[in-house]
Amino acid sequence: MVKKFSLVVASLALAACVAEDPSSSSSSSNSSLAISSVVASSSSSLAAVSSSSSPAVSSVSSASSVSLPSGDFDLTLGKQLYETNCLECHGIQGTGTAKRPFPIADVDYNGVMSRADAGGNMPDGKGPLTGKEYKPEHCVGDCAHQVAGYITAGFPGATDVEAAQELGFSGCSSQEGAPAKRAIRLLTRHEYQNTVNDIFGLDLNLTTNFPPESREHGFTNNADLAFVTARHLDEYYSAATRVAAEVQNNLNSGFIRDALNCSANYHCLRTFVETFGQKVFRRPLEGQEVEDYLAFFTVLQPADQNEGFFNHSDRFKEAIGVGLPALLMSPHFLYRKELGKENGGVYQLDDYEMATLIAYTFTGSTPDDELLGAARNQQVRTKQQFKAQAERLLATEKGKNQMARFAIEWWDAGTELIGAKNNNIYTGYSPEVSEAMVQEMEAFFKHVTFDSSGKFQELYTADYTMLNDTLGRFYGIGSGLGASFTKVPNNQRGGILMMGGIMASNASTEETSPVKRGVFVREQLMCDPLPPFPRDVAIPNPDLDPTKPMRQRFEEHSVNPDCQSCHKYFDDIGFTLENFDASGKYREREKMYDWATFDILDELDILTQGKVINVDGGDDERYFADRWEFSEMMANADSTKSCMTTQYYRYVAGYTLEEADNCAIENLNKTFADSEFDIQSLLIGITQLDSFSVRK
Amino acid sequence: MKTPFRNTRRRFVKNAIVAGTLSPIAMRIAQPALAAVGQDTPKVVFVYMPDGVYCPKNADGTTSHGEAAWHPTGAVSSTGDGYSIVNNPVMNDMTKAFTPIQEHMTFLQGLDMKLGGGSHQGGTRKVLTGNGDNSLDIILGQQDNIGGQTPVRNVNLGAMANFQAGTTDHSHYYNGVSVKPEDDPVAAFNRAYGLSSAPGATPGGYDPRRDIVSQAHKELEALMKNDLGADERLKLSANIDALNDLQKKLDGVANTGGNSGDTGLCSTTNFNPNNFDPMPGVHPPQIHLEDNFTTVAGLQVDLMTRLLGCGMTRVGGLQMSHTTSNFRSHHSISHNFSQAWINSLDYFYSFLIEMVQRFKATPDGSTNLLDNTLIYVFSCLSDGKLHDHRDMPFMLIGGHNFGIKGNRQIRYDLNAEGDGRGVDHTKLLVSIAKYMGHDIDSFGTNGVAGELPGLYS
Repeated sequence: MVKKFSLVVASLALAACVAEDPSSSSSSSNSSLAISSVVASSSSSLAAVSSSSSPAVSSVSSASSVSLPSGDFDLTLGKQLYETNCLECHGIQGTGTAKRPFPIADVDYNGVMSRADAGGNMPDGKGPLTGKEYKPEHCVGDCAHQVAGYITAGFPGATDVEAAQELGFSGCSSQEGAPAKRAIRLLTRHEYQNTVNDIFGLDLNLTTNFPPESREHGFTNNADLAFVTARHLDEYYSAATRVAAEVQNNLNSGFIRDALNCSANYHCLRTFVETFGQKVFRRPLEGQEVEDYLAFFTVLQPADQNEGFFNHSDRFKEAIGVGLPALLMSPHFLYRKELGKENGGVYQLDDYEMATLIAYTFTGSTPDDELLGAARNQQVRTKQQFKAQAERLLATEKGKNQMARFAIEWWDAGTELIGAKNNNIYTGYSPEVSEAMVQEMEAFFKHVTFDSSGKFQELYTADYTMLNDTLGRFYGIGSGLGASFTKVPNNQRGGILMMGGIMASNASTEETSPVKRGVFVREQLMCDPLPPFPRDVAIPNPDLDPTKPMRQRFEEHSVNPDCQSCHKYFDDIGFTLENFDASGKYREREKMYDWATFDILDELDILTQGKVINVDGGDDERYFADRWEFSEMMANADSTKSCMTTQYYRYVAGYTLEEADNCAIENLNKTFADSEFDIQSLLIGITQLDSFSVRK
Repeated sequence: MKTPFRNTRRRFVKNAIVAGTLSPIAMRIAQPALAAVGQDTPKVVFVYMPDGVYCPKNADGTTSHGEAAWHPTGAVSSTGDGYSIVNNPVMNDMTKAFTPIQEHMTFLQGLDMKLGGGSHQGGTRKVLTGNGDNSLDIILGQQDNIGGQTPVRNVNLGAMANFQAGTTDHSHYYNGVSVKPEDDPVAAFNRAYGLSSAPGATPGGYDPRRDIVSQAHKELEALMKNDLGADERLKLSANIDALNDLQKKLDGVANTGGNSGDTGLCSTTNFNPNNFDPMPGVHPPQIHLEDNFTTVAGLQVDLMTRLLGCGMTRVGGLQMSHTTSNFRSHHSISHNFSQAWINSLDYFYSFLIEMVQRFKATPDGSTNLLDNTLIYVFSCLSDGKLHDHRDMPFMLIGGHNFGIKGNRQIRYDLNAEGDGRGVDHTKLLVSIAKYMGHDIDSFGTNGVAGELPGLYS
């Protein structure tokens, strides 16, 4: 084992494959392959990978049993080139890796050559495991030929599966949840606004002009992608001055007066700095910090005046106006820190860091007084205490709303993403409708999680949805609905896969997009990232043809081998969702338009049956008649359950996941499974992982 | 005509006021380029047009020169090593909108985005980065002799660029992370001139921002002393850079008299004369209503003209919508050649044409802003239906004071690099960098060196 380990580590130093390219789906990380051993009796992806991959071979000579195309092959060289160019994404034996799960073991010689030898389809970049620079795009010609030979020969001489697991190429080792990454996390727009409003008891819209976050897997809180620019600082200062003005206006009333509990004078300024400074920094200010910030509040005091200068309400207000923006511009406010204190080779988050992590995870906002008090009293140190706080917050409306926000980002369908629609076709569609669609998803997730079965399966198999009057009218379901969302049983829609917002997000302004919808299911709901777009393959959009339904127009995908190799994984999923038009509205038949006049030329039948491949690993094929059967399939798949775990872990961690996170996710999967997939158990269960409070 | 950068660099260095330093305390005041009256300084604007053009290909991948295809036609006037030049090229249906500014344009044919990802998102990711981590506009802004010379290193404006856009729908990158254009022209104007946060209500006019910058800087430096990983240090370094940029802008704006009103081209008056108010409405905000596109894009053109014209910056970006644009169904339209597609592109082009005409009417250096400014017009795709990156529809406009000619087309040989696929587009990025005074031999990670031949022929 040691020898093999050394061999592969040496290989890793040279290894390379897929770029850290945010433009491609390859930026996804952990897959179901590594983490789906959710239920012992179920068909785990790991097992499937093992069985579907070529058996480990111990020597090059074993290649003799494999049929290679004619040509001059040097399998030793092929192995070396494969490990130099392909290893970190495609795995030691072509099963993919947890970080970049792109299986290649079953691709034949011509398939490899068509992608590799063309050049440009294997992006250069950094190896996801080692971070080394690499240039697989340059592996063309004889290099591609030798690599294809090695793959086709069944990876002769490759490290065996057990060793591969030890190296994190697939599955989880025996290591218990590894510490997460130490990080400083820039507040998102959502968090910034919640935080400021909660601290000062305000209800301001502050972040409209803030730069939008870069999203990863739909999540806006990936701190790895958040950099402060000069534009951020301008916007922060602009927002801070608006907050200061509101605070000035409310010094003598309500929330701020009660929190301050003193009258205008110098000492009250100090009280302001200490009281609100603690809320702003999410920890008590240190002695020098109090003096530093008090200096901002007192900067207007003339040199010939004493502290009595501030015994006037107007001067006191002016001091707040000058000083408060300084507090709100501090890095200690703008970033929440997860740095911890070293203890035995790892870093344990301190009391205030824990309070902050719990608060933002479960409320998307700053710690409330109870959490800050618990931190002050050293009562956020044990897993039991973490759990108790999580349960307390999850019972609040704010906590439930934050979990609904997690779901919206997981489903990649917020108000900023649901597209405009062509009003010549979708006459009832409006910003109010798209906003209501987001609220429908939020209400649905909250209902399932907190008011109904609480089980994962209901997210897919519900025979109802949550509607208000606006959306009910648009969908043509329900009557007499009010402004708030209520449960409406119906036979058109129910569950994630029939949400109008998701259907509208994954469609163009006029037409549905089976490809987008299918890719959404595979990547967001099954955590099965797909290879990036091939670069030099022409990807012609099917011609507009009013005589052919959408499915028929995409026929090329199923007959052209170049297309079919990828599209077989998601096109059928999209086709079965064709009962929802581009606006998310239910339809029995597909309307065909004259694209110049938007007159309806014909209405065609929708064929919804299909098959889905590789649901839980391997190339298994499962057939379904329609969206209801497909939803049932998704409700009972391991990949979708483990994917929810992964997505939730990703949301809580707030960084691009690494190989080391797999074991923590695996443990969270067990928690989820042990609870029979109770969603609240998952949401709270993350606090029980070592990685929740320990950093490396 | 002035010579290109290679012969003028010493002039820049000689005239350099001061480069930014890491310490805002020690930083000197960066003055806008207004001080150099009569001096020609190169400027650049990167203009994005969404979703490619009609540029069909033959079976062998070469461009099919159908009647309505993108690339202009015409007889070759001269040839060089690997290229030929067509003077006074003949416009077609897709390019005839440019007739009013054709005299200032160079159409480029035969450039290929050869490596990196495919389709829309792959194109936006690499078109300005050459598959590296940073886009050229960001790099130029970071240079002491370019962005370091102006109060604002670079501006990045958009018209509905963030409306229902994916996270990979923009072409500007910093450390591998997408940088979003600013869609609100009023906010961008106020920020650029330091008006949005002006301490008007502060007694005595005290502006706390310089002290805030110092305090934040001190705290970031303290955080840096933690045993942090490279990623976290990079974040903090970026924040420190941003603080320095804010400090530089505060100093620079102060020297333009930005808050006091009329200082020639740096005038803050008469912007937004119809008082367009971007604030009302949250979903969608006013700036993202289709009916307001004309107003928003027009204001962004005005702002770009002002910022470049008064030396507030030398590096600009202007993005029309975004890749897979859902503005008036543009993305759907771009899949099939039609008059509707031409009309949609012409609408976007109208703002480019307006900007060119505004630049031409704006005095700058020895002549006008257009003569000093190179406008690079690009898209994420070549053909909108094929979603390919071959024979990209790139254009250059202006830059005449530094040797860029107009009213011509440069056709690069398909076998110029021995692969039958034209010239790697990163050579164009190198040429733009050199135009701006950033003397590099290659850009991005494609492993291609050299600049684009023929631009100055």
